[in-house]
Amino acid sequence: MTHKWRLPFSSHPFNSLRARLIISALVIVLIVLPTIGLALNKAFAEQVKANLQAQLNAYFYAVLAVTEFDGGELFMPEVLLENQFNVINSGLYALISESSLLGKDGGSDASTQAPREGTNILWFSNSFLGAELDASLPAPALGSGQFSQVTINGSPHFIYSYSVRFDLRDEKDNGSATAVKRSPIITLHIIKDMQGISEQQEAFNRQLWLWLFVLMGVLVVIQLFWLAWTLRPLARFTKELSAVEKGQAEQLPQSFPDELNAVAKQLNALLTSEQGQRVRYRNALSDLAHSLKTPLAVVQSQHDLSESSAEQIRLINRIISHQLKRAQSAGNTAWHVGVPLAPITDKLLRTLPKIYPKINISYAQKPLPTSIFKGDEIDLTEILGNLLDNASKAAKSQVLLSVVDHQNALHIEVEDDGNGVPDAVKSVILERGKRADSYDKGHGIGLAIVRDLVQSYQGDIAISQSDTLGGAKFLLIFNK
Amino acid sequence: MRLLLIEDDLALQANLKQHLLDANYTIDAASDGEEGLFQGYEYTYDAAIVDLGLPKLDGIEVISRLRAQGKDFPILILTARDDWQDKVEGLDAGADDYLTKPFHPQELVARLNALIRRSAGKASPIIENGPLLLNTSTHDISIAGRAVKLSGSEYKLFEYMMLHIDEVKSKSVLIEHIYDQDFDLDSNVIEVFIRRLRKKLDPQGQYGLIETLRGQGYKIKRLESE
Repeated sequence: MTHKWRLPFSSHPFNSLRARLIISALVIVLIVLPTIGLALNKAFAEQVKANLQAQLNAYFYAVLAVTEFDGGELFMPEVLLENQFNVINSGLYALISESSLLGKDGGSDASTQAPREGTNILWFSNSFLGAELDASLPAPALGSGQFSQVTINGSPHFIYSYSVRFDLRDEKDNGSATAVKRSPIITLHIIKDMQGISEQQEAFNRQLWLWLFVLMGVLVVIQLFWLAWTLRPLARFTKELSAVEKGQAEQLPQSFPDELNAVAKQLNALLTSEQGQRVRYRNALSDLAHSLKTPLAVVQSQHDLSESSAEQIRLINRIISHQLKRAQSAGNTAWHVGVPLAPITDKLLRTLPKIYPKINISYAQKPLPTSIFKGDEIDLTEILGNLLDNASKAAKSQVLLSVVDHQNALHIEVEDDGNGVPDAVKSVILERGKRADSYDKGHGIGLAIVRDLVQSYQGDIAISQSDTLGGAKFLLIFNK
Repeated sequence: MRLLLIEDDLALQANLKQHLLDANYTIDAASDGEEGLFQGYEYTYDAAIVDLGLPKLDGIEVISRLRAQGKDFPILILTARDDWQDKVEGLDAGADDYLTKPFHPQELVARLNALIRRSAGKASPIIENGPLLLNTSTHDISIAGRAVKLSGSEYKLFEYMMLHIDEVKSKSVLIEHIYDQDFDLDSNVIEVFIRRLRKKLDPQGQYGLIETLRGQGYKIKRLESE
């Protein structure tokens, strides 16, 4: 079976399983995947930052190892081991700043000091020559480090600052006693530009989003295939159900996946039981009609029957006929299996001329082979039989039947070349709630049954003058 | 005219039989579908009345099988089920008209007359043959304006022959259409009736109305209008 792909939003945006599944698939693709992307990006940035911190930390110890205080003076080597410190503008800088002169006398405990900023630079590496610091340097508390950012020459840089103080030993001449002095608190700064990191991160981002987009595309395609595959039995189920509704099949096949097979089985059981019940009901009513009417026929066929008895029999007969017809109408049942119109109208047009050999009963417009009446075959035959019979009685020579299958409604027209429907009968036919068995004999009982049946199918009936034939025109409209 | 009446309700069957006899029909009655079908196969009828709700074999089935056997006499269905589905099914199976129970016996007779006339190709109840007029509804007969009275059996024979003008009918066919199957008759009785008809309708023999074809039977000749 071929699967027809349809737009999911063709009727109501969310009133279809397909639309819902597509929306949920898109939510996964468009929300979850970018979220994963953002999380990976963030994690990568954190990792890069951690690596950088470890690197700056290592540089810090390397520079600290060569830092010396002698006689209260800071001594640094001319050239540092890491060559980038020696090359001007290399992007890696080392600075030593004195945040405070406190402690020079050794009298105060600088370790309790809050970090504060100071820009008294005691030393800087050769790489920093000519560089311009746009803000003051951080000054963390003694014995603690701090990562932050500074701007050098207008571009952002990472900076790791650590505050230390050196113990200065002043050896006496005799060499026995040693007096301990402390250096001022100095902060060693290792600064690295962010360009390399940014490039690394950008490269990562580019790769990440490229592959995420590829993944999104692949996922969308997979999801659509998955949807088509999963929903195919549902589409087939709908098609088969529609065939049953149109009267093209009596039962649903049992070749669906297990979940749908259970539904199909239940529906079939329901259909069979409903149809069986209706047949049994109709047979019972038919037997009842036979049992009631045959004795009436016996009474009526007696030779010495008085006129008043005959009239009573006619009355009883009218009531029985009408009530039985009402009882067996299927118009109010909840679900109608459609019946094709053409076989019913063909049969009527084939048989009615037997009763009315002088009347030409024919189609003005034949029903299409696909035209369906959503209702019971017996009810439709009753409606059309009565209308055509009524028209044939009224006609002088011609009766026309048209069936027009509009998109939203089925129109059935019966017209004749008789004298038209008298206004009195017209108003009675259109008067809702009027009991059909209360009509005078011979005046529109059949039409009243038509009216009742049409109403039970929520149809409309209109009576007018036929433009073509000049007699009456009955128009029935059944909405689809 | 010989009719087959298939009706399972014996009281109704008896009443109808009486009405039809009064209307100068000859009746063979059956009370179930199988019996009715057998009679329909075996004998030739001018028309049949078939109730749809029959025991053993449904009325529609009886009609279908009779038609399948090539029996083309008109069939009127009686039905208590007066919905169009049943009427259409009956008509489609081969019936020619229907009557819904209960019905007035006169209506049944009128419908039968019309059906038989129609099957003989005559639309009007008045059959005209030159100066001879027969009203199949009122049974009035006149020739050149002179009214003629016929007995029941004479009328049956005359009407049957008038419905088949210029057709030769053998004695056995004529007996079949006038008497029911239980009536054992010497075929000479037809000769007696023919003689009487000639005497009443054409006493001077000026029209030569009824011709005898030796070894074949009789026919009513088509007369020229005066």
